[in-house]
Amino acid sequence: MYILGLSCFYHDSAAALIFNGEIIAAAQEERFTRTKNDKTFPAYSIAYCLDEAGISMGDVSIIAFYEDTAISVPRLVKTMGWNLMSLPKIAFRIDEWARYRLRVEAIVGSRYPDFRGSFEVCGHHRSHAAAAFYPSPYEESAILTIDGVGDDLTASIAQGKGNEIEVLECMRFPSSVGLFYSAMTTFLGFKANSGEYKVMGLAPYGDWKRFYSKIRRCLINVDSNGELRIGSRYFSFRSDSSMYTKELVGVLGVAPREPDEPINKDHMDIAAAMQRVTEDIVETFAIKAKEVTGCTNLCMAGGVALNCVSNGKLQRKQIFNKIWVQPASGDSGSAIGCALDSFYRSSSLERKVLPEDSMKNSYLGPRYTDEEVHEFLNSVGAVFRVFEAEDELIQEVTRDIINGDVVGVFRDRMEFGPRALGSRSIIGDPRRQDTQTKMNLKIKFRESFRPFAPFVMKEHIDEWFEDVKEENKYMLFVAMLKESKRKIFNDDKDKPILERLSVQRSEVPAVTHLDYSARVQVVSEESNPFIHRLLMSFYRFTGVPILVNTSFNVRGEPIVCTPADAYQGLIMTNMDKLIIGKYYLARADQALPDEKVEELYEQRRLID
Amino acid sequence: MKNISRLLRWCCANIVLVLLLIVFYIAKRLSHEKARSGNWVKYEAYQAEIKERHESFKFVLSLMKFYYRIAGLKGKVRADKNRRVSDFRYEMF
Repeated sequence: MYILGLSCFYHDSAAALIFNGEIIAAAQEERFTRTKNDKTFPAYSIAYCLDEAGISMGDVSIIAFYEDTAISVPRLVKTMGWNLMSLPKIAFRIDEWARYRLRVEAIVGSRYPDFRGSFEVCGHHRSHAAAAFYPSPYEESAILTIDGVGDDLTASIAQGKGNEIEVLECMRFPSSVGLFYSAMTTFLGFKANSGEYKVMGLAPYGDWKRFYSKIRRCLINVDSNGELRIGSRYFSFRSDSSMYTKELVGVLGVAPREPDEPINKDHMDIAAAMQRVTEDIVETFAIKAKEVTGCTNLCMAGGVALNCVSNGKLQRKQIFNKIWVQPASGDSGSAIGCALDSFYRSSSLERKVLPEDSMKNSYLGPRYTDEEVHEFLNSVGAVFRVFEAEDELIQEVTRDIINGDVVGVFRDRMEFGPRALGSRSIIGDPRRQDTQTKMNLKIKFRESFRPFAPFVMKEHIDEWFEDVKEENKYMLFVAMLKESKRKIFNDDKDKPILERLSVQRSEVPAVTHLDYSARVQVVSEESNPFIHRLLMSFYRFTGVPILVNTSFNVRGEPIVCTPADAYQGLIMTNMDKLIIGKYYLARADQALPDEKVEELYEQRRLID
Repeated sequence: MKNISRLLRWCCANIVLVLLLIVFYIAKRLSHEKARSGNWVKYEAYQAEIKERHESFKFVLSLMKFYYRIAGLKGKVRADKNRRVSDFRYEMF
């Protein structure tokens, strides 16, 4: 039985296809439309999923939708700023709902006349819970979902056992740790729903003690029972224009940061404090989840579950024996969740619990054959070398990385979720002091303070990082560098960011944050054979089983999807080399774009 | 002329809808508003409330259908439904 899961019309539209409980394909719409966080109907993603399975819509038995609009729309109606001035805005919002959000079933019916199955709706947090539990490696587990808001809820505690999920408790809007984090993200000059990870990266630069008690006293607090209290006068979750009020500026004594404004110590200290408060809240929720369910394992999903610093601390606290986090924890992953929930509600087929989980390492997106890549490269006049033997390609790439080159990797199936895990990645030498700045400023055109994540060979993980578990294959837990690999330095918090960044912090400075933390991705032969062999080769030459990994995109754009996107990435940035399957391209060999194209591209970057 | 008529219908429909929703919202607020705190609630209790809300939401849905009919609008989605992944793989170049 094929079931298609859909998530759309809020942010990060996605589609996922499952067959008898097995995830066949999943993709986010943004990758095809090239519009970051695209929320439109996931027509391309659906087409891809059906293509991957080799079926048509007529073969699909159920289409599942990830949230109950009968709950979410009244909540939105109720929480909109109801005053005369906002009526035009309200009219447009209602018009949008009338056309799309309330008509998902009708849109599906009109677009896919050959679909003869049923249309089912799954609650937002139930979709998250299902996405967290069903693909997890646990037969039984507590499930904690935390996000901004979905339907009318902001968090839930559930228990999963075999085929069943029972939601036990939930937290009502507007008490929301996710919305608190998003509101503070906008206060710090970043975009809500996409800039949160930048704040997470900024936090280690700040002194958390300065604003911590003020935030807990006035803005958000949690007691030992997990009861959350949010200072509603400081936030404006109902408004479209701003998520916070003037009172917030007053209580913090700091002006909100404009997007282009330089980051100063105040911003860093606020980021550090709000991150610390969020970690405390998540920990309290986890303790509550353990008390309510009595389980020893935990599965997590929802936007807040992408906070890998918080996840790492939770893992180190050992409240649960094991923690598994859905790699596509945001709303896009709910497409998988609602499809799986729909399946296990309608089928008696027993759930298969795989020891390594059922997400297929999150490689669920499109792949391209050598013939397709070859045809494309010829069509654009690209200059490339072909490596029939993978070992030779790996040797060549290793040599280039050691020489300081930054290499794009485009191979196999695209990842599902916000992280690049080796299929659509940019890699470099972690030992070089300049790698972080080069990648940030010359390739990704993003803020220089943001750290990079390391690929680490599974076999050597214990030599380099403390308490890393095998579950860390999705880059969802932050781990601390072993003391023996650290270099002691005096971090002067009053110095500008760039000066603080230039200090050598460890043997692998490009992937070590100021607090010696790193967003580790454990790579094994099973999870990604190509990257594992590349790591082995790099280790043989350098004695370091680590490579820098960052997503293959530039600021403001989604991760690349097609060979065309990847090739564009090569010629339009300062990336040195590009691997597309067995083809290896050097930027220096390509016909570089004329000034006009480059100018256009520059404008796109500035828009972000 | 056709476009002007369509625009007028769209405006009228929106005005009617906004007014009706304001009435609906005020009625709901007067009859149903409860003190909300950040407390965790039992999911069963939440579901019972949701069931009630589903019933009242049918009213909104029928309004929406009415709106949709008088506005004569159709949801627009970008992609051609017959287009498959392979067709747009390389369109950038």
